[in-house]
Formats: sequence, structure tokens, C-alpha cells
Amino acid sequence: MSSDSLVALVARSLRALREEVPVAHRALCAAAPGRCVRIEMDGEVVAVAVDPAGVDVVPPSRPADVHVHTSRRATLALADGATTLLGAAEAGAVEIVGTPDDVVAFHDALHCYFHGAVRAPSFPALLAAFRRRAWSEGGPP
Amino acid sequence: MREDRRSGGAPADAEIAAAIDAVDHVRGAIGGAGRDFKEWQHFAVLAPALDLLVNFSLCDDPYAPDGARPVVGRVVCVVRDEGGWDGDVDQYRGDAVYAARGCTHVVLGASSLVFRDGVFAIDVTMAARPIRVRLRLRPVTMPAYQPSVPMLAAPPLHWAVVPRLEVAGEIEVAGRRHVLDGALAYHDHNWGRFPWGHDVAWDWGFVLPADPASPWTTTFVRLTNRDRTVALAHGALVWRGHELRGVFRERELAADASLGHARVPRPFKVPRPMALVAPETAVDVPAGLVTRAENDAGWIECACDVDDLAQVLIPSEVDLGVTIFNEATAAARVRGRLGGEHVAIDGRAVLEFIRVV
Repeated sequence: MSSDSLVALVARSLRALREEVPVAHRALCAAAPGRCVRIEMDGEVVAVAVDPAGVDVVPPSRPADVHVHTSRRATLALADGATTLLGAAEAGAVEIVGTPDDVVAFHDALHCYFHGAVRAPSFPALLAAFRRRAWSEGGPP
Repeated sequence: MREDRRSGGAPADAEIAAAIDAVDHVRGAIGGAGRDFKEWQHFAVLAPALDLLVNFSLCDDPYAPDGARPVVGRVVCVVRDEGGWDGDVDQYRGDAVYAARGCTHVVLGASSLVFRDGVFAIDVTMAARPIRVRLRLRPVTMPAYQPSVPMLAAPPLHWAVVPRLEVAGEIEVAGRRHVLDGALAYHDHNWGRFPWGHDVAWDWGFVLPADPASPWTTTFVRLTNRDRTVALAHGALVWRGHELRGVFRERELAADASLGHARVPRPFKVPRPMALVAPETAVDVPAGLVTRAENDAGWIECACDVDDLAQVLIPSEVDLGVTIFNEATAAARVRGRLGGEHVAIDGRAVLEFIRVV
């Protein structure tokens, strides 16, 4: 697993969330207890689950409650404020599949993750690494 | 840039500089300014083809590791020209932050703010946007110092204001070069101790005349709780030339916000990732704001009609909320009478509406 793989970056971001903005980590766990999301992005897959110990990357074979299909391009457009999550979903750039309850829980948990991301000192470097990976694969500047 | 033409009782530039030095200098200590400390030095330039906001801030860092709580420095730069809005918030920690207490000399990464020889020198290079700012701003009014502005459940906020400066220099935005020579600007400096997300909101603004020959300048502020149901402070200041001519306080003022909201199709937001947690396109900003003030010295009425706005978004430090700085530009018309003289300003305003979501 390379250091800038999707799995590695997500794992580092969740660790930063827990250590640097614990209030956001606790809120995320409270929003989606026991749930698992499987994210597929440009052919890479990462699964994230909320367990009693907290939120962490889990093996992708674990059954997921919510499935997300998206791309680095769409993710960077969100991070750069070029679109909203709703706009990306309406445009088909982000697809979120699950029962209504699970999708709502995922949305609330994702919102907590975003709140941690904009506060944690480590996140700008993680976003930069994500962006470099997107560029290296011919993605958007 | 203006030559020093004043005589007959007007203060020399050196007197204005000394008055500014006395109240408008860095308070924060690098290496630990203490819990919830905040300080920012704010500049707004209104030029014929360009609006610019530059803000240097030094704040206690609640997210620093090990609970060390050192200072985090931020450069906010937001500009609007024929290409639309651009800008960003650059954040610096550790060795990338330098500030000398007791004077104005702040270095944040590749950007700096210095007050020396009666002139503010702003040098900004944004890290991830094609924006460079090289300006010299010469104050042409005496400062006003408004200490101990009351806050709810926090120590008072302090405010030093120099409402009118003449600007010379260059601004480059995405390859578009703007040369300024004589454009007008506003500057103020706030410091205090409170967390973002604290129970406070404010409506603040200033008006500069379209015609630089007009001698009048005004600024006003209304501080409330975040629900805007309790007024904490209300004031307006009016200068004629270099001199502060009118001071209105508390019950001498009334503010009348229009019921309609400003309509901005898609507000420009910085820093961009903050749009993830505040994606809303509707803005809680009135389409117009009228401030009326009257006391024994005279009266003024200031009417502002919002035409555009950008949002600077700051994560709340008390919960998972967001403090929104709505930076609105507006057409402004001020009329009044002070000390037997008619007051008239036809110009432009920048209004700042703080909201918490």
C-alpha cells in the first residue's frame, strides 16, 4: 500500500481526526454507530466502519450499509468549493446508495468528518497529498 | 500618493503616525498569547475597478498538538475585479509566524504588514492563488480608539480605527495588474479574548466617498448576541478631514435593516474547503441597512444598499458550527449636519455581517 493510496490517506485522516479534533470524531461515531461505508474512487476501494472503538478503515470485504462511487476529480471539486455535495450528487459525480436511514446517517457522519477536516492542522497536508496523486494520474489541476 | 499639503492647524503626518502608533500595535505574544486570544488588522481598499480586503490575524490555536496553544497566523485576502472574486485564507504556524509586540510588524510566511514612518506597507503573496499585493497606505485621519466594547461571557473587545488612508501600489490577480495611486482605503484593528462561535454577532461598516476631494468619512458598528436579540454596543464615528467630528453612542443610534435579503446567486467563500460545512447559497444579510444617529452635536443618516458579497468562513471553537463573515459591498449615501456643517457622502461602503450557523 503506497503512502498516498486512498486507503492510506483515509486511514491517516481518521487518525488525525481522532487525535486533533476529538469532538468531531465523537460526533461522527455518534452519527453512524455500527455502520460501514464502502467508497470506490477511480478504481480504488476503501471501507470505513464505526465500531465501539471508533471509526477506522476496515477490510473492503466487510458488508457495507452505504456504497459511494465517485472520482478524485469530483472530490477535489468539493474540497475546492466548486460544487456542493448536493450538486455533485445531482450531477452524478457522486453516487450514494443505501437505505434512507443509512444514507442519512452517512451524510451526518460525513458532515462531522468535514468539520474535523477544516479544523485539524494535519488535513491541509493530506489534501495536498490527495491532490498530487490526482495530478500524477492526469486528473484535474 | 498625496503630498503633505496640510497647514493651519492640521496635524503633520508625524502627529498622525504617533497617534496611530500609540493605539494600533500588536498585542499578541508569539509562543502563547493565552487562551482564546484574538487579534486582527484589517484593511479594505475601494478603488474604481477593484475591491480588496486584506486581514492579518494572530490567534490562539485551539487545535495545536500537546495543548501548547501557540499562535496561529492567518492572511485573508479577498479581491474583486473584472474577473470576479478571488482570494483565500493562508494559515501559518511555528517559525512561519513572526510578530513584534508594541509595534506593527507581522510576517506570516511570504506576506508581511509593517507600519513605519507613518505608512502601512502591505506585502501579500498568496500561497495557492495567483494574487500578489504590494501597497503603501498613508493614513490621512487621526485614529479613534474604542476600548472595552462589551461582550457576553467574555472580556471586552478593543477597537482602533483609521478610517481613511490613501493607497499607492500594485495588485496582481491572475495576471491582471492594477496600479493604484490615490485610491481610498479603511483600516482597523481589533483584539480581545473569546472563542469563535461565542455568543456574539455584529453589523459593522464604513463609507468612503467616491470623490476623494470629499472630506467626510464614517464608520459604524452594532454588536449583539448571536440571535441579535440583545444589543451590546452601538456606535458611529464621523470624520471631517483628519479630525473626528462626530461620536454617536448607544441610544443615540437606531439601525433599520430591510426585510428583504441581499440576493447573491452564489456567494464566493473562502477558505474553499469551508464550503463543505457551510454550502448554503442563501445569505442572512439584509439588502439594505440604514443607520440614523442624533445627539447634541448633530445628526447623520447613512443608507447602504448591498450589491455583492463574499464570505470568510471560520470554524466555531465552541461546537461544530461555523462563524460567517459576510463581507458585503454597497452603494452608500450619507447625509447629516455636524457642528453647523452639512455632511454629505456619496460613495461606497463595505459592510460586515457576522452570523453563526
